[in-house]
Amino acid sequence: KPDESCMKCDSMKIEPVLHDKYTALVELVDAYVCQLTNKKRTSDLLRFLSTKYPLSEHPHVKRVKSTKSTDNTTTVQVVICEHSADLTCDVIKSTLTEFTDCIGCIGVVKIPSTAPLTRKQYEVATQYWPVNFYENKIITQLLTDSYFNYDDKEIIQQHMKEAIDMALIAKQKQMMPVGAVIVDPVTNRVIAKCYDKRSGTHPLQHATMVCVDLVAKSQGAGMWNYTTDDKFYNCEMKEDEINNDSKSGPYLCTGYHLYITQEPCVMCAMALVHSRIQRVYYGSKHIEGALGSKYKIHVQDGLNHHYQVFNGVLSEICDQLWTDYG
Amino acid sequence: MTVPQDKSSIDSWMLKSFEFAEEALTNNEVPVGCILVWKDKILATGRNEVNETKNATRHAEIVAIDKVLEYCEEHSEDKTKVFSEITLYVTVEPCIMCAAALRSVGVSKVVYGCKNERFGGCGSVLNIHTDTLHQLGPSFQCVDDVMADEAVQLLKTFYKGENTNAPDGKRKIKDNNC
Ligand SMILES: [Zn+2]
Ligand SMILES: [Zn+2]
Repeated sequence: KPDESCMKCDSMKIEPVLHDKYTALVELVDAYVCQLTNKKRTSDLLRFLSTKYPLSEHPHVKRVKSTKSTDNTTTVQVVICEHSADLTCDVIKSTLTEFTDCIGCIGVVKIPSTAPLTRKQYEVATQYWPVNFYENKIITQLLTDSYFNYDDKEIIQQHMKEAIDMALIAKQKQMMPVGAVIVDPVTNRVIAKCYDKRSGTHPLQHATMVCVDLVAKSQGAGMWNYTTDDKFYNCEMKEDEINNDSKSGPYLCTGYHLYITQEPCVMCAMALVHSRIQRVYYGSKHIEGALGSKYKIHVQDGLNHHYQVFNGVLSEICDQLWTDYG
Repeated sequence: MTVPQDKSSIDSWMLKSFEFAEEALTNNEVPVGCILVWKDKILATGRNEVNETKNATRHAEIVAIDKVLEYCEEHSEDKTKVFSEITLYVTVEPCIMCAAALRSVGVSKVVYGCKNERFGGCGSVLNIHTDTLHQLGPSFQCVDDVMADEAVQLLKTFYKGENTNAPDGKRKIKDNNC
């Protein structure tokens, strides 16, 4: 029986920030196709084509397309190979002499050049040519806003509120109103919380950088000094919890989630790659932000660690933090 | 101040950076070292200290920036002015994080050794040094390929060894930051 605040919580939209490939338009390439007039030769032709013209660049493309017309006759078309300037129709014909009796004329069609990653892309792709589609359940859940259940959303909102509280402390101190909290999602234990101190004496002390250092402090190390007046927090791991030989022991920010009121910049986003964070939730977007706005560092090709990012969490409240600042 | 065009002077500063890269190696850290030169003198030095601090952001450049900030605080120097007059000599191309950090403090000249194919922010993975980022800070120039072979050699020595701080033995080579 959801009360009013729960209703709000349930309607809270948490947007995944995915790699552009999941929202990209379906790219097409030209391919040579022929009509197959004698269906009994299908397997012979396919066997021949798979060695002569393997579709190794486009393994998701099905070779055969059957179309039923209104008078119930079926037309079968077969992809021969990708179109290229130095491969003319005549050249192809000359390689297909043993099939001249069963194929029609050769034409050019558009086929999807990469495998569809989402149902939407699949639906568009198949309008051009049949393709295989292996649905990634998690991506589907993320795209249909069904990844989080009600309880998850409540916890997420709770942690973001803690980050907002830190931002409010910063605001009182005339610092940038950006708050951050790092949580162990398995136990929901808060590992560290802080706010942005860049407008103090240290230009690198963005909320994320400080938070990552507080995590190091929780493991008995760390670098920067803080005063009690800062009102930062870090838990203190017990000796057996920080045993580096233990596989379960904390290692940097492995397995942790960061909640931050504003989208991190590129320095901070990369600091989180180095720190092996598992997930980031942020409230407000930033024009030069590196988790969706200017870059997508969390899914940057070439980097050896990726992490999940969600935005929109209590974003209105996070936006409001900036009114009458500075 | 411009980057000295005299190759021997560049090399001699870079040689100094290697001392700190080697110190990192001795301490079982990814061997990257740097110096920050201001008014023809070394203002600050840095080397990777990720394992020691359990803070993956403690790259040579960040460590050195911290020292400059301390210096400016102690000597009442204008940090923005000091950084703008600094040249960084670092044995490996700054990573994306460090390139952004360098912009945010306003370092304008960077000389580096070898490319950082895995994390490089000055051309290898991204172009943080020149991308349009008005709020981050001014863009900076890079001089690359200064004693690159020596830098690569040091990295190879490290990756052949072990990183005892990684909890999972299998992760040691793949996961080490530099
Ligand atoms: Zn930042
Ligand atoms: Zn770096």
